Amino acid sequence: MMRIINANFARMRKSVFFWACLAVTFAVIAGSVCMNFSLYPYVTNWEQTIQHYFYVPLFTVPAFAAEFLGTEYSNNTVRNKLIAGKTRLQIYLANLVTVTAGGLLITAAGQIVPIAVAIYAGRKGFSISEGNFAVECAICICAVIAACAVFTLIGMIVSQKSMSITLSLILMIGAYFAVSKIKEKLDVPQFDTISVYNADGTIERQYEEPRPDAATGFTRTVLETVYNLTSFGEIEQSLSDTTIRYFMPLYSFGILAVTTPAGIVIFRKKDLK
Amino acid sequence: MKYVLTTENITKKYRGFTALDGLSMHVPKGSIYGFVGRNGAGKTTLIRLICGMQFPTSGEFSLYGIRNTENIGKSRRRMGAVVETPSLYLDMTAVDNLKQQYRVLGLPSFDGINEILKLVGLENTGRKKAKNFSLGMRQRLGIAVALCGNPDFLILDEPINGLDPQGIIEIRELILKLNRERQITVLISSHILDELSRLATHYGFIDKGKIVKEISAEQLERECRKCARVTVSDTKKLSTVLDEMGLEYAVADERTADIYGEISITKLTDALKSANCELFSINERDESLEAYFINLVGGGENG
Repeated sequence: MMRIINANFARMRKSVFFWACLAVTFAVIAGSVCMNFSLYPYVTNWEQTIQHYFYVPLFTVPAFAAEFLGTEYSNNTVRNKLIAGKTRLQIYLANLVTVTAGGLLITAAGQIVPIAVAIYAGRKGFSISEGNFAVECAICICAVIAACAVFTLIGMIVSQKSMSITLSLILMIGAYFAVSKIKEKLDVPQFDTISVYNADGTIERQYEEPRPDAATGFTRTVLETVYNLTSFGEIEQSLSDTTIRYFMPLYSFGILAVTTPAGIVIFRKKDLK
Repeated sequence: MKYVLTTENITKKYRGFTALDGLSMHVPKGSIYGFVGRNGAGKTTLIRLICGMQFPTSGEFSLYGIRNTENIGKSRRRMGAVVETPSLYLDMTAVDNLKQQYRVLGLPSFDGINEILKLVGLENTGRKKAKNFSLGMRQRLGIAVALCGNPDFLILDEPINGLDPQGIIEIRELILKLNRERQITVLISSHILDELSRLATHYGFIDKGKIVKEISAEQLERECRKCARVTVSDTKKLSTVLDEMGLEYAVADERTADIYGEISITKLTDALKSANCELFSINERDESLEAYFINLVGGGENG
């Protein structure tokens, strides 16, 4: 497997598409930081801004992954690995490692400017401790790794490169909008507090009434689970000050643990041309 | 006889369509095995199975004595293949393509790359990327990739398809060179039977997913007997003359017949003159591989 990883890394280094994805991620985030500064010259709550920049690679990494893995099919070079005696398990795992490494490099490139600002702003730019910030970043990195596992699955089972790129991007755009909608729904308070006043203006009694537009019970549990299972949701949860954020890496691991064996099983049975 | 590849009753089915139907074949060590069959006969399917791109529905094959149900990866390392189109990274140079395969194989250094490129005649391609190569150059680069790691079994699926005459000659010479100088066993499938007949030492004829016949080139030559086709005024008189001369023959119609074996034209013309039979023409002919193949699998739909 190490030999395939070595070959994959060599190809990644020479891939124009990989460097383009890295440059786009860097440029989008750097541009956004500059715009932020022109609008709000004083750095405050910088940790939240940095966390939201983790969204950007979630749109560029799927393009890289689908292109990188799709090339193996479009050029038929996956044959060369099989003929060289490599097993499908080795090929899949090596590709997962490569896509994850590439994904993390693209993510890191995007965070260069925000972190430079963080260093420049020092303590006063942050509303949380360094330790807390490190935890947030670790959760976001886990979310990116989980997303890479999903992109690898798609890239390995869809033989057509263009289809694979389209599918990965649609999935991420869909996930982004789904998470926004779910967040909106979950943010609606479950109960309205109704106050009944006396004639003199004092409160006679107060009671809580369920809101019809709020998600409750089983629906809420499902929505919360879906929210936590998407990389965007995990990044959002990393900013939460409740203990739920510490469970986010478990969700990431869960995605990795489900998609990888599923991908291996499908890839092992797949007839290649 | 030692075999590099043997298959036993291999069957491959795709949703109701049977591509291979109990195919059994034997590729002798050191041979150039011509794999002959019409489109859709199952040639590429079998090659895909051997290369590990697909799995048989039933049956087994063994490479260097290791069965596909065992750890066949070890014996696959001893083979190279070009299946249909060459498998190349189109945005890389010839050298980079070979380096990639060297890395996959885990070879310690890139020392042999120049030698392989020289062997296939691509040593001067410099920084030109594979996507800018001609079809012939890509085919040769595909063979070069297949040669990484010094395999002793090479599978070439339609290697001369779409090549110009010069390209065909180059590939033919390369295959012969690899077989003679490096003792590489070659399994080569091709539609261009005339070309195949210049290379193959053994043949396997496939039709409808089955091997119809396996035969060595020597045996085939014996079966495709040479004969002289004569046109005369009366084949009855010709038959009498040939019987008297003790020659083997076959009458085609009232005016033509095929005479087998060595014949003396002078003696024959003299004898025919004495028998009052006029001789119009004599043409030497032999049954081509193409004709043999058509006879074997039948014309009609196979044409």
